[in-house]
Amino acid sequence: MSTVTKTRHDETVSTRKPSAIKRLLTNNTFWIFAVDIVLIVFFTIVSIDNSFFGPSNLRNLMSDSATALLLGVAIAFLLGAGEFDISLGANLILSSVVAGRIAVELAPYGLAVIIVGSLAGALVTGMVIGLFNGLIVTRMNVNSLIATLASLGIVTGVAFIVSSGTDVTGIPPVLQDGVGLNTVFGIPLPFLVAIVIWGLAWAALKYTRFGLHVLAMGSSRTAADRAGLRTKAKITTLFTICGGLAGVAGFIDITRFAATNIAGHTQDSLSAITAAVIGGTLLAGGVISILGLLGGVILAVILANGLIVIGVSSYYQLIIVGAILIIAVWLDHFKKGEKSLRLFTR
Amino acid sequence: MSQLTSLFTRSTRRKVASAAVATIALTGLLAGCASGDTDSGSGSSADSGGSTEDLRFIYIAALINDSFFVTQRCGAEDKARELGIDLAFQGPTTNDAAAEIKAFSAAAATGPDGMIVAPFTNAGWGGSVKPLMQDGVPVVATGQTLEPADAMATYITDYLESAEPLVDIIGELTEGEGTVGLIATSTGNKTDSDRYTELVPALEEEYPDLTILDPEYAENSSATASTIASALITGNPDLKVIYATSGPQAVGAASAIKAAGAGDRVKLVSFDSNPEQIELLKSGELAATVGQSPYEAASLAVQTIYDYLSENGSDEAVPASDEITPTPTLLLTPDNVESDEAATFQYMTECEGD
Repeated sequence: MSTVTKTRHDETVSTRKPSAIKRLLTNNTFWIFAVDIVLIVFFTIVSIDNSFFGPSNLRNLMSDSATALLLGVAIAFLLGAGEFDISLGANLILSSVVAGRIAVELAPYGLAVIIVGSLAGALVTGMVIGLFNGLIVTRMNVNSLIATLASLGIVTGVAFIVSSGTDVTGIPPVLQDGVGLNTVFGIPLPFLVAIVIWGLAWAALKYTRFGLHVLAMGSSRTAADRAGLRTKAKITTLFTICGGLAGVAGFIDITRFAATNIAGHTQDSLSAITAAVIGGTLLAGGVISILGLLGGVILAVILANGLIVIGVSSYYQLIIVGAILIIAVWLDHFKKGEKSLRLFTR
Repeated sequence: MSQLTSLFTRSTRRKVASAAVATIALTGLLAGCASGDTDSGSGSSADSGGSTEDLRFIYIAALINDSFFVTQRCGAEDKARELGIDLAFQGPTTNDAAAEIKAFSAAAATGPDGMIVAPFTNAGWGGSVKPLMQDGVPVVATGQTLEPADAMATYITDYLESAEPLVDIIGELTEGEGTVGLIATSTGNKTDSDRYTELVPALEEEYPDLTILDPEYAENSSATASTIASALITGNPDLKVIYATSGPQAVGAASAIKAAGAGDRVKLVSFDSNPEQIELLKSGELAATVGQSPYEAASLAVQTIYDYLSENGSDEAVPASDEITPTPTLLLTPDNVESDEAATFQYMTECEGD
């Protein structure tokens, strides 16, 4: 499912079609999922009563990955187009504050009205922030890293003003019971929302002209311009859509906790970038791996949950997480080498 | 070509002119700042000894949007209004200790008559507080001690005393057996660690059959706290209590317990009494939480500096004191949360005049 626009000249040219196992071993996302599976098996064996793989903990893992997946999709598309957005966490906070305040106001009107009102508020807020970022990047020609660093501060400040500097309380518990902690066929609703959006993102990348244009802009903005793509408009649109995804993540956040968390989410953008890059999306642009992103998100969620389930002390957790991230990325590079191909297909 | 050269020259001239204007503006700004420092640095209105007219105090805290610190601000502002003092409450919106120390130094440079600090962590203040005290500017610490004890007075919660009702309630909820999980804020944060370093040994002594897990750190993120709490529930079948050291941690843990349907087996106990925690108490999702007295601590701090300046003025160095004055706490539970007594231990989200 990963989409690559450039030719790998360093790979061995063969007239024969490579075998299925060879294709698997050289697949961008194979190794990240291999690491995920090894960790799942390990944590399941080591945990008491194999509780790591129990239905209750699987629901935990799914709930934990919902927000990360949404932000991951946003950042993967932006990275693929050669852009950054480190204001996604701040966007999530402001969107959740707006959604929270709307939910408080709509409390007497029932769950459906609360959902529609607060989700719309979060979505619009997120998209407006995304549009703001996009216009700064495309119309003022400010590098997206700097532009979103600046907007991170601006958006956080606005969130503090809107919330009077403190978390929004009084969010109706029915929102938490009806959405954030609700399950459909045993699957947490926030995860269902996230995985559907993830699927739509995959389809958009693979089957739409917009997806192709995103990759083209990330591969070479100049070439895309010369090919007649209206890159400024498309980049602005992309920022707006990605801002909307952060808005949805903000809505999901208040449904899970029935409160905002304006002191949290400081690391969300970085975590999303890490998950996307580990999954095979290139920081330099031009390559997006949506399936790999799922593998990267799963890796982060498994580690955060599994190490506590098996009782590893928090200081050692930091070391183990760092080491596993290095191994995951090293395996991704290792499989590209000729020696490894021979080793694994022998 | 000559037109191009001419254009280039004009463009270059324009750039040079712009740079010159910018330089002059910047120089003027810096000069203004410097002169502001000088003026205000000599402007202590209590120099004459005993005069308390036109006093100006600055209160520095971190995470100033947190309801605990908002409540401190309310207490300080109310007392300052009563005494006719001009009080400014400043500091970073994050819990960045280095940013708080910088904010303190910047505020000190404006020449206030007195300063109050709510240090997020106790180390690193020596270079900022001691020189002020030597210059006759009283500094009082609230919420946390300073190391070394350079302030003239310190008003904080007695964590040993506040641990006693926590030991009792955790003992009651666990019946002295099973496992207790601990979700803290961050490492290297004494304000946070004080909330369990006294509690854990007291629990171990009182209930030797209890297993108390090492702290997990959620960095004030409800989502991270939820992840931790759900993993603790999964990994410890005999888990009976989760103790969260502050509000966002409690909110995340409550969501995880609810999501796991483990409310009957796992009880939540916490520290602090912000509005979210009060709601959790009222809904029964939180079994108990410790309410502190940030309003009273801040009010006492303002009064203490005022009294000192009334008697001594600011001509001589202010004596430092390592004496700690404890401020009261109350264990809030679903049973007493609505009482008048409990109301004074609940944190505020806005002050009079906001």
